[in-house]
Amino acid sequence: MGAAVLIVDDSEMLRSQVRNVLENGGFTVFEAQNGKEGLTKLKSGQKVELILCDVNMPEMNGIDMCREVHKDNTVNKIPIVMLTTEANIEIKNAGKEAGVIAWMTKPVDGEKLLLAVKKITGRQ
Amino acid sequence: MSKLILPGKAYLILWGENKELESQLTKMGERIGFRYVKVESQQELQDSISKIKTLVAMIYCNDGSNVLPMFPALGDKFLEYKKETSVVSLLEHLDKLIIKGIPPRLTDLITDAIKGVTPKLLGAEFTNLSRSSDFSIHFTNLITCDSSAEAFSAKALCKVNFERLRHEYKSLSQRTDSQLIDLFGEFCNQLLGVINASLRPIGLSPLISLPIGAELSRSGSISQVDYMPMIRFIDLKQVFGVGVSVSVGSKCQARWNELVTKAASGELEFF
Repeated sequence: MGAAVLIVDDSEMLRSQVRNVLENGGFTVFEAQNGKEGLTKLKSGQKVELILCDVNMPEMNGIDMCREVHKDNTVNKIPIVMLTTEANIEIKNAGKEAGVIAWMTKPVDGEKLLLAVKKITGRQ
Repeated sequence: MSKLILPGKAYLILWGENKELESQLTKMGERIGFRYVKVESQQELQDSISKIKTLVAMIYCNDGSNVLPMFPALGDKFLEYKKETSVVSLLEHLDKLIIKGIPPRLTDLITDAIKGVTPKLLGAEFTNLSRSSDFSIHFTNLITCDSSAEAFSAKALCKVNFERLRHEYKSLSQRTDSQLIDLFGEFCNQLLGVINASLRPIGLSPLISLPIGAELSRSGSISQVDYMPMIRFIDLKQVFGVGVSVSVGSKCQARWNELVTKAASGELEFF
């Protein structure tokens, strides 16, 4: 089984698009529709090697989720890549402070995304 | 004495009588989101105009019996309507005047963004969009998303007829209403994201809101959209319309002459 990736995004369409790209590349994909659900999935003991996360989401946004992940020793080693339309410098800096390692802007380019995920998870 | 002017609304002033024109202005105002007010004297005009926040234009119906009054302060917002002018051509001119509020390079950016994002998000079938001044398609759902920075705001808006969309576009025929709301919400969001990517290098960094979807049958008032200049596209089958409206405040410091459209390519930046 390939590495497991958690995609956190409120858009079902986007999650499905990313899932297709990653599953075709041999990855296992878990989904959450907001930061709160993302945290629950992470804390359930599910082994995840990478988190792909949107910024603007209802209930809990992506930056707040990253802050919570950053504080938790059991999951804060998992690399986080933001996958979002948002590229405001202050929000990016907030992400960086919360442990985000890379920022990818939508619309998603499947090939670039797969390459990045392979690189980060060491599956090249 | 001033006509009754509501604060915060956009108005068009009409001076003179023309029933056909009035009827068309009412429809256009409902579609775009302005009201029109009739005045009968210079004093009434001056009193009214001082209370209007956004003046779309002033139309003076010249039946030839009066000397044309001069309104240099209105610039190209002053339109003269003569008997020999067709109402259609006047309305077309009015529409161009409204669009003129958008800096030309921003118009190009919005156009490129709509044409680039539409087939990527909605599918290859959606390459049949054409620029339209008429946004009055019969739609069932409205999906919007906002983006704002200091002295600048933009709204992406989709008007969609879900039933007809499923019928006309095979790739979407199996989508439920909630899946379509999700799809068009993400579409609006990404459209603004692509526009914002090109705005950042010229000094603007707008933040994007969460998209909102509304169903016409549950809320009759959603067809009323506040007036702002809007670039609109409609698909050939008239089941889907997308528009981006912008408001550029006088204090906006963006360097519009440096604006260059950046391709939407999913950039990756490692920290």
